[in-house]
Amino acid sequence: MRFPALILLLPTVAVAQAPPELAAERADFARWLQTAPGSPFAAIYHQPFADDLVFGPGGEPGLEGLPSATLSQGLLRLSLESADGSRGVPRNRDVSLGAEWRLRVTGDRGRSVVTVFGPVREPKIPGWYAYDSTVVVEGTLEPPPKRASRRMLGLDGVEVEGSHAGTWVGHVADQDVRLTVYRMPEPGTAEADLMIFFRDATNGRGTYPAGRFLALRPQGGNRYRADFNRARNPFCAYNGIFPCPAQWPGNAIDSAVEAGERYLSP
Amino acid sequence: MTRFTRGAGLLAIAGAVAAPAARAQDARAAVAGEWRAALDLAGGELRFRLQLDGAEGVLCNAGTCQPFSAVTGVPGAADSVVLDMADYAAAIRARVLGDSLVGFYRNVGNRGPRTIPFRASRGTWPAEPPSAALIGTWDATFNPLERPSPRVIELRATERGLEGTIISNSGDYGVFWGDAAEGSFDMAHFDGSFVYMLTGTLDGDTLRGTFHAGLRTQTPFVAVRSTGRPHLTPPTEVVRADTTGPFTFAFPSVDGTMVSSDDPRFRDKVVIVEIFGTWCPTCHESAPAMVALYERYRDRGLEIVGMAYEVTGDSAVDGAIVRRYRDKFGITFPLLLAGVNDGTSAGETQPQLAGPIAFPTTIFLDRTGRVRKVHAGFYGPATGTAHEALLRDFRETVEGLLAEGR
Repeated sequence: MRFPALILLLPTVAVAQAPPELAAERADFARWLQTAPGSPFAAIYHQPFADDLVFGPGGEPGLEGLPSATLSQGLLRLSLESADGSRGVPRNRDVSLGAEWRLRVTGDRGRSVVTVFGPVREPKIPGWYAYDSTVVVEGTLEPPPKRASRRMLGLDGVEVEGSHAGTWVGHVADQDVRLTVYRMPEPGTAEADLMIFFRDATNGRGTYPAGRFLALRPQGGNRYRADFNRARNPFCAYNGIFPCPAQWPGNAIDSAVEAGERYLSP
Repeated sequence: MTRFTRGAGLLAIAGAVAAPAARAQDARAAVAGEWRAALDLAGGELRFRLQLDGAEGVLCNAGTCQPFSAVTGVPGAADSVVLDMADYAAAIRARVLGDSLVGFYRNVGNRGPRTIPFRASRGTWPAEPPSAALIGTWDATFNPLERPSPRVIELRATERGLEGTIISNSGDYGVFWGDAAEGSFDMAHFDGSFVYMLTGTLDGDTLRGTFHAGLRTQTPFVAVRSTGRPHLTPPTEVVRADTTGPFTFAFPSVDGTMVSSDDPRFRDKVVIVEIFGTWCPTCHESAPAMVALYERYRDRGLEIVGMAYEVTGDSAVDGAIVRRYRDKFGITFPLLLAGVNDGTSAGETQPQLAGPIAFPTTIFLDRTGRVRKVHAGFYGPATGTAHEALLRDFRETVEGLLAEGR
């Protein structure tokens, strides 16, 4: 009997069991993915930026169809030259390139990334495992042995300076786990989440092969809650234009964490 | 009383009356009045006030209120209301539950939407006299273990309770409001865009606490009483300017005309270029200072031009927002649409400036058009003596440049 087996293999997008707050959060996120001008599904280009980038005919491969313009890193600023003249380009904010195209420059000078957005293409409704209250886990954060920071890719494929915040220790999916935590700034804001990039036995078997991100929620003192129902995919899971972060050494959970965002492959 | 105690009380009220929602055609009538509101951050309750009246309303933080761009009902949800903050591409959406409001504050970042639980009950937050033990100026180090960076924390007693601010190298974080008792304090700043809270406890001579930003970000800090010696790098040393030639600009005004540094109105004048954004709370504090300077020195040869870096990059949308800003402060000097905002001090937004540009940044040009001084950031009224000193410095700078002749 193949039909029932097929049903079992279909991705579970059960959100009904989730608490109202999480259900609203997921609905909001799905709407953003499907409609927002800055949705990863709308990105057509995402590359490190050196000194110049030419849009329009004869320009950068992949950007030939856009209105003619040149993005330049001058001595003092980023500027965009087009038929309308020259204008400064701020970082971390979207700039219109005319018609349906938008440009965003993220990251620090010398390590900038340019992302170009067009219309949202073939958006997918993200899938989630059914809510599981047993993977809402409070653990402790052990401080790092020494101060350390390193350049690393955030979930949006943009390189940031993450500072080592310590090791989260908790019990997940019948297993004691120790996971490395970095404080990762969100460019353009005063916010910096305590992030875990982890792998588990569901990777490639229901979740994105490269792993998933999870932001810790402070509970007071050195207690931090990891709600694996809120594990989310890096942007490379939605659109191959975005680079995937390298695995964080040691952050592999042997058992299957069947919670949070799934991977609905193209 | 701690924030958590207050929060528990408010939740109990919300739970007790959660049965019949107000059933009107439009929930706006049901929500008219004054509300004590809160955002539930991971680190505690961030308090602010709401005053709603039909299609209008204001959000108040300490003594400062600002209007919502719109208060609307929700089609198909007669018990829901949306408080829109178009300047910040943000909104509060809430359901009426008896005499409470419960919902979410939402804005959109580059990594997706961000939501923070919101609730309110009728009435106002009490103004409690703050304990004197913490009042004063503190030299703080944020994130001392991982990546130390300096701040100054000001705590003051006012008739509204505890007020204060945080000052960084490039400016202050706006007015915070809260209370202080028995060696600990908490105070918050929420203007519709920035979600900030500062909590701390006195430990001997050291103040230890946490800076909260958004729902989850918590940055620890330690602070000691200020000795009067400089703790921050002065903002004027942060930004460098090209002074080899005149400072040039050409942007459309909010009225659609092109305004350029070559225009006759700027010829042989002392000119202040103010880089600002309507989304920037500190800019709302510097705007009255610019208006006052213009009124005082215009007849003696001062011109001011504001360059707005807005949210959308769409001149129709941004123009309407900046015109509202102009009308709010009674600004009579030209305001130009210079681009899309950066939102941080990291933007490289002007051709002849280098270094992290804060919002606002004030550039003083002499009568030949050359940059003579740049001030990144602004010390708002929340900083007390620093505010007064800055205004005095601005006046002296303008008078000095006016006196140089042509």
